[in-house]
Amino acid sequence: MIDFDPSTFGLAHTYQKEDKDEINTLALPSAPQVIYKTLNGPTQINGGNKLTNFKHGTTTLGFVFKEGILLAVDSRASMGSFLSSEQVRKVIEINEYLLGTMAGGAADCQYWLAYLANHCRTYELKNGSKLSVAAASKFLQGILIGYRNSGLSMGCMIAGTDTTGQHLYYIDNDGMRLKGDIFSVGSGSTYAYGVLDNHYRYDLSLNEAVELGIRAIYHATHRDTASGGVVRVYHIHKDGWTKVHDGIDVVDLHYQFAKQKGLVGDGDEAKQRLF
Amino acid sequence: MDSIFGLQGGDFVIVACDGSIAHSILKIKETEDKILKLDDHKIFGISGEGADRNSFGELVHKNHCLIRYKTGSYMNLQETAHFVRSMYAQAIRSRDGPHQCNGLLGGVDSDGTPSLYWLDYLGSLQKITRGAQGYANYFLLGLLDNQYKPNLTKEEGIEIIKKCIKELQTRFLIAQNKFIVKIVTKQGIEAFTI
Repeated sequence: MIDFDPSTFGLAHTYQKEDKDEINTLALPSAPQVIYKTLNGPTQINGGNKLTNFKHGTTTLGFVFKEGILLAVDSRASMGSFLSSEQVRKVIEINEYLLGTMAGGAADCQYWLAYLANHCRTYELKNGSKLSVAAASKFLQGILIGYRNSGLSMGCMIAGTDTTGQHLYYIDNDGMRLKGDIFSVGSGSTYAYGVLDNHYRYDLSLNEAVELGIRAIYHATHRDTASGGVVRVYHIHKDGWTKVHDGIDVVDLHYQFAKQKGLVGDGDEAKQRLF
Repeated sequence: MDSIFGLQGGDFVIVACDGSIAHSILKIKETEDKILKLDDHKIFGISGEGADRNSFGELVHKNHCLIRYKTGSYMNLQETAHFVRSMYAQAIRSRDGPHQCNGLLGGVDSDGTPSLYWLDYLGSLQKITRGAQGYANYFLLGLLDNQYKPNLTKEEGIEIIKKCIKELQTRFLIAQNKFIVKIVTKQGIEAFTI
């Protein structure tokens, strides 16, 4: 709809909006539009797609095999695109027969797993016997169901040994508790599952299992920006747990695995040449 | 996204469920048993998100046990179904809201009569001969209606359930590979995976 301004009456003039604004109005200076992005790391690449919105910027995994349970975790903490630490301890030593892994909010995991440790010790003193893994994980589930809509963020695995054997549970902030043989949690979990599902067998030896855990975490850290740092590996057996590796740098692993395949590891396997 | 479906025959009830637990795009577990055993002759298949399914299932199971200890006898199917329905109904306008899970309660009474009940998160209750919860409804009700006839034998019932599973695997967008099937007869509960 053309606005007939008296100053242009009579002119064969196609009215452009920009001309009018320039002449007749004092416009505000154009300022850059500020877009408030949520600090979510990988989701920004996906344009904030809800399906792939893995809040927990980490990779942790655990699996049950004939020699017990193996837990392997990375050690990166990121706040959006800022790496706050490459040396986080994501396996929390609850007591000498129970371990918990951390994914999601570090504070939530650390606090509630410490609370669980307190509860386990109190039970042990009162009742004269250790709390079973099933009961410990159920206790934590009860707490998380109670805080369900309060915004806790936890995706942790409870692994331990008791009189009935070694058990692995996955517990998350929605109050879900699952018993299983293989779990991987975090933004890099899909990459770790790929390697883990391919090579997992129940009758792995301890060395093979450690190697599998390390490889799966390495592959997750290679492809997932929110995972990295070092790999820490723990083994749970009938006498408790042992720390198998305290920190293997994934960068070293990258060149080591590349060398095994006869590659340099510089990412130029496709040998792209532009001229 | 859970599939729970069931069938009542001449002297048995079958309830089947898929075994997968999914979290965004990941299938965390494939062998989760979503059919709760209330006692030797009653099963309750629950469909819903993990925590609700777990916690409501536990609530029903423990209260069911409590009533048995208080009164000294087991409730029959009709009493159990109405009891579970009342648990759903009490929660509707409570502070935490309704229990976000639906269920299929099936079992056989001590005189051998089978029954299957469809229960909803808002406290609906309906006695049915065949039915499903969740998306499985869309795929299976036609098939269940077509294949059902009165006084089915156990073998015919299992065949129909296998056809249902095959239909879900063919037509349902979400891949559900493992199903857990439980059959209640006067002799007790049999369970197997397909």
